[in-house]
Order: sequence, then structure tokens, then C-alpha cells
Amino acid sequence: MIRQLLQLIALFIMQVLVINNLELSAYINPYIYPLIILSLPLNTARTTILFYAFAVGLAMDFFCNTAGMHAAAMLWLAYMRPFIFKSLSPRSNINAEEMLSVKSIGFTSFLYYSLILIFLHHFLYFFLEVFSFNQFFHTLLKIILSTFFSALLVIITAILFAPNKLRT
Amino acid sequence: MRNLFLFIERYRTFLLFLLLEGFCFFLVINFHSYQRSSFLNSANFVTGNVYKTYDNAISYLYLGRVNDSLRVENARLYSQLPNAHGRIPEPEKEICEFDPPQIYKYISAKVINNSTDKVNNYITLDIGRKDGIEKNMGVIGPKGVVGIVTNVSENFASVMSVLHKDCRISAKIKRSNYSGSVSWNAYSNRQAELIGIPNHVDIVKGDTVLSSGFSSVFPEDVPIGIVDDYSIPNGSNFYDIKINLFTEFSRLHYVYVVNYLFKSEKKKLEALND
Repeated sequence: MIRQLLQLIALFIMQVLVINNLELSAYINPYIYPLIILSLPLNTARTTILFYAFAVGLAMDFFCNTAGMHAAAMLWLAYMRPFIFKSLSPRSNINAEEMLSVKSIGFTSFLYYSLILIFLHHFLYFFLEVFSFNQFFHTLLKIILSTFFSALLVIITAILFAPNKLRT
Repeated sequence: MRNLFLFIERYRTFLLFLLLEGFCFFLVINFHSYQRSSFLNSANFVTGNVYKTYDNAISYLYLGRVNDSLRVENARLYSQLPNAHGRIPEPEKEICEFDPPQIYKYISAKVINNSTDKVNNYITLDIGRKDGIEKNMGVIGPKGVVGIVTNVSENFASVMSVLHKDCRISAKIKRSNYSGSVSWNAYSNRQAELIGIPNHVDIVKGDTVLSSGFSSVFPEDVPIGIVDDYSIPNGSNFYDIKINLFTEFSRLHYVYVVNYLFKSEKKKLEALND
């Protein structure tokens, strides 16, 4: 529990103070804070995850002046999480009480799992941010580039945050 | 009734999702409608203090750059003082014998958070209501227009920068005095667009674009940018003008909030027309 809380705060600070200030390009706005929801243990109640995602998203909205956009995208991610996880059907011997990580479900599974969910998150978020379909392909390009960048950062962070006993 | 409870029980995750998502969409749509204020903003106690603490920690890294820009700005302002110009001839002095009242007051502020690569960029300032900041005040930097205050708390203010897709700034071309409005095209933090200039106006690359002062959010003649490129779209009566902004938004550290001192009087007068 304390571990989770520390990870939550660390990820949040990293997102708000470091990654939001990177200014790579107008097309690359990476977000790593979805990892907070991605790494929750499998046995977490689905309603709990929804409330958790809502709270995290709303907190991010306060920092980014985005009025509910992060919260909407995080809820969508949290709602889709079990379906995406099931459809990927990784190894069966996963400890449901342990936090999901690169080690616990395998690198490839984790990569696909986070890529798909981050794409869903970014898709909703960036369209809400632009709030029009006028520059559809501009926005789509931004979503795709940002998704790859976010996924890369998420995987790196997930490896760094992995519990010590699992790190080889 | 029992069936209803069973239904809720069965689909409670989905219903909860719909409920919360509905609330989020309500916030987003509310935010995008006319009044652009939201309780979700970075001018509150917690976020403001987080940004302030972070800024305190890293602002030393920029001291050299900030000093340089302040020096340049001081020199520019010194050269605008009356004693840098010739004396006003006596007869003219008699004609304008009254002292013109002060119209604008500037309040200095420090930028504690700033974004330039999003679709809607905001700046957080370290001053708020207790320093006399109000919504809709203009913000200018050492080189030109920066943005408009959108939310204020006791100690912090959040500013919609020119780099915001809904930001409109009343502007004019210095040489021809025609006015239009500056808006942002969302993909480069050095460029914006000037719209509403009729196609019969003579424009050249390098024309300076200044604030018009119509809205009294900004004083007249605050620099905004220079014309980089222009074209007339087929069948349009107006130019498409691209301008290069003077303000370097990614290097913004100190700004000034513009307080229009006749605001309440102007508001009262305009209310009479409604």
C-alpha cells in the first residue's frame, strides 16, 4: 500500500514537473502517469479502479488546466483495461495480488498491453483537447507519435519501478 | 423494482463508468463554451504551491538570462523617458497644460509554470487576487504580448497564453493601421495568424503587428509580431497572414499584468447600452 502511494506520488511529480516541461515538439506530448492504473494488481475491484482513475485524472487536470480531459481519458483507459488484458491472454500463472509489471506478465505482453491502452487514452485525450475534427489527420499523427513516445517512457519507468526481488 | 436493482448490480461498473465519464464530459463541454473559467485550474493552493516550490528550486539556473533580458528592457525604457528626447517647445506645453491621467498600471509577476507545446497552453503566475489581479487582465512580457488572465485565486493566477487555440487578441498593422485579430494555429510556438484584414490593404513581409487597444485588455501599441507570409485564399475578401511572434514563450520568466484603471467606469457605461 505504501509502495503504491510512493509510486503514485513519484509518477505524478515526474509527469507534472519533468515530462510536461520537456517541450519536444507540438506532435509529441508524452504522458506516463497512466502507468499508475496500468500497474494495478489484477484482483483490484473494477469499481475501485474507476474511482482511482477518476481521482488521478482529475488531479492531473488541476495541474494542466485541462478541465476534465485527463479524467475522461483515464476513466476510459481504466474501463477498457480488463478487456484488453483478457484479449492479450498472457501467461496464466500471474499472481493476482501483485502489481502488473514487465517481469510479472512478460515484456512482450506488457508492451502490447501498455501500447494499446495508452493509444486509447491518447486518442480520447487529444481529441478532447482539440475539441474538433477539423484537423483530423494532424491530431491522429500527434496521437500516434505521442503514443509511441509515452509507451517507451512507460516501459522504461516500469522497469525502473519494478520490485527489487523481481529485478535480475 | 427487484429487476432494476439486479440490473444495477449486474452492470454497476459500466453504469459507474458512464456516470463519471458523463461528469467529465460535462466539465469539458462547459469549459469549451463561452465562459472559459473552470474550477479545475492551476491557480489553486496546492498546484500553485507545487509549481512555486519547483520554480524556487530551479530558477537560479536562469538568473543570467533573466538579468540580461531585464537590462535590455531597462535600456529600452530609459530611452523612452522624457529626458532622452528633446524638450517640448513652450507654446505646445501651454496647449496641453493638464497632466493626462494614468490609464494603465503594470504589476510585475514571476512565471512559475509554463507550457508551449500543447493545444491549449497556460502560464501560472505567482501573484493573485491579493495583489490586485483579476480575470481578463492582459499579460505582457519584455518583448510583447503574452496572454490573458483566465483564473485567479488568492495567491496565484493562471493565464491563457497567446498559444491557446481560443485566444484572440485585437491587433493592428502598424504601417496601415488596419485592425484584425491574432489567433494561434496550434502547431508552432513561434508563429500565429492575423485574421480579418481586408484584401485591398497593402501588406509587405516584415510589417509590424501591434495590439490595437480596442478591448483595453492591452494598452495600444504593445508589440505582437511581424508579418512572415501572407496570401489571399480563393474567393475570400480577407488575407491569411502568418506572423512571427516576438515573445519567446519557452523562455518566459518575468511578465507584467496590465491593470486598466478605468475598467469599472467603462463597464458601467457599456452596461447602459444593453
